[in-house]
Amino acid sequence: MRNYPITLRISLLVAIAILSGLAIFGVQIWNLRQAIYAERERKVHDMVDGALQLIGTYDDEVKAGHLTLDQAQDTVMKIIRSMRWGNGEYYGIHRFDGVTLVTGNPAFEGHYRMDVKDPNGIRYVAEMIATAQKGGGMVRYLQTRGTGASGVPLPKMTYSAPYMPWNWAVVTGVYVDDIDDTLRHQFMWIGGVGGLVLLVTGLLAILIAKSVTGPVLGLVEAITSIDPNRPADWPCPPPRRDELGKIVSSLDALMHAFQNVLEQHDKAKDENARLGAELDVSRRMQHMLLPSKEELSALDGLEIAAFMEPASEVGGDYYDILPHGNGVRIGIGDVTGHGLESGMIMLMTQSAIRTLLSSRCNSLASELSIINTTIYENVKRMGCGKNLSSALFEYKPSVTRDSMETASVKGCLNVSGQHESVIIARHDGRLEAVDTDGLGFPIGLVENVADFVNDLTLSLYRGDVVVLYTDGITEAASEDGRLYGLERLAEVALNSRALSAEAIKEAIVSDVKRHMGKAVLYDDLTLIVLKQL
Amino acid sequence: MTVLQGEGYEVGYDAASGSVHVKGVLRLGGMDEYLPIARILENAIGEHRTLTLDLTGLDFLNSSGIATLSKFVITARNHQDCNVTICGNAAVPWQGKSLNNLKRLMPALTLRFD
Repeated sequence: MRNYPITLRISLLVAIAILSGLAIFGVQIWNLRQAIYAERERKVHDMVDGALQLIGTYDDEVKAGHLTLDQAQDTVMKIIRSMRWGNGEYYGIHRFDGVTLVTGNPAFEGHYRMDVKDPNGIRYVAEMIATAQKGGGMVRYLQTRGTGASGVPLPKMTYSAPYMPWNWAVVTGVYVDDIDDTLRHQFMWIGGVGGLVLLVTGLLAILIAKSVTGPVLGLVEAITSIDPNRPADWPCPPPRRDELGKIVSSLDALMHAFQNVLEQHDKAKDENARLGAELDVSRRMQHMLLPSKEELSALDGLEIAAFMEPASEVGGDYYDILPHGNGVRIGIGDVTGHGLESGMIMLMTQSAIRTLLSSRCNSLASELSIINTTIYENVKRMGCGKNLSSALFEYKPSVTRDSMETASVKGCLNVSGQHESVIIARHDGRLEAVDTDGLGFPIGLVENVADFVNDLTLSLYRGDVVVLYTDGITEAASEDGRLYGLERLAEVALNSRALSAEAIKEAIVSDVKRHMGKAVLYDDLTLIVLKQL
Repeated sequence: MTVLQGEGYEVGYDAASGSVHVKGVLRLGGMDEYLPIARILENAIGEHRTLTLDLTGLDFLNSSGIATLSKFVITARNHQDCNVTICGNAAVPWQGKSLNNLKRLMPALTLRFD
């Protein structure tokens, strides 16, 4: 049943209702017919009973000796002959021997009429007598109403009852053609009204059914045409207050919720893409300005090797190696936080350092101070609260005119700025970690750092190795959370100090990687190795 | 005791003892987000002239937070008669270097490492 269309089922319902109505109507008509016939039968029966009563009364008189039989019979016949009832119905009395004593047409009285037939061949007088002799009953036959041959034979219903003592069959009958006429009349009347009622009911039923199936089918149509990418744009049917209306309003809310989710999802995807793009840009920024290998190798007396590996969330490490005139300016720094802003600050720092290099500024400390103010003002504008730890180095080969000094200083490294300790692995195996805590201040944190910046000069001898780095190296965590550490870094540098700067760098990087294992890198790794030749 | 609570951190100002404590992990995004905390500090120093800042329970402070603290210390330094003591925890990584820098900003600052 549930696989059949709704419209079909509703139509079936309406059809069943109409058919039931018609069936009941039919039954009622039939009952009416039966009732009318029964009524008629009762009537003629009662009328005959009445006549029998009359006969009985006269018979009593005979029995009482007040009348002779002939007198009584004659009187009774006279009375009964003249009796009329209903629509001109008359009585008949037929003697059991077949002689009609009383009947509607006086011409027939006194004749033997056993063989009289109706148009259908029914010997109705004989029937009446026979029926009476059996105790009484109904006889039906056709008879022409009125006199003469001009009439149409019509069905008549007659009751015949006996008055046994006198051998009389007493009958009276009534035409029943009018019954069918009446019925037809009733039929038309009821049919008309009933039909009208059924029609109206049917129409109403169809209208109501349509008012249900219509919107349901409309809803089906609307739902099946939902665009999964834009659910909120579904063709929402107009509001209504019935159950369907509730479904529609719930569905509409649901569609909007879906739409919301889709939009959030899209937004999240877009955000992700944007962040990914930002990260890309930051990373490229980091690399665009890094010195090339050619630049690094163009230095006499100093071997330089550099390494940088950004973390997945670009951390904003910075380094630059700027050969100039007779020396090398080296910068290294670590911007707090990560992302696009950190990348920008790193860029600004690089530019500022380069700019100052071309100036006639004499001291690293004052250069850092100037850089700090620049960065501070920009960071204030950005409102991001970021700053960087940064150290500046200036390497100058030593000008030794006195060749008698064997263990001579080959180069001077001037340091300024607060950053990670500078590791020096001396050629003879001594290890130094130069604390830069008192050499500066975080850059961009406060407006003026002039009071905090100082510089320090380190002498480098042949074979000395200087290691500069950011805390990404010393704080690189292994899988079980142990940090790489300053000690281990210094140890590796010391152990590989005989190698070239490049090889030392490789040794350190592979050792850090070995320590990390499969652990994720959280902060940029930056490493600069200087080897005094 | 006025307490400001956020996701993973708590800042409490005890007017009676003139002390502010900061506990937990502070990673607010930008100077603006630190404004409520900055106000608590300014309030405290305004009312008390002497302030103890207990950071022993502060496990992490991001750059914007350090910048906020630095600004506060500069303000305190500029009010002549202010007395600030900061209690730090040497075991917490960021505190050593950053708190030392704060002392540079305000030499009169008392730094206590437990």
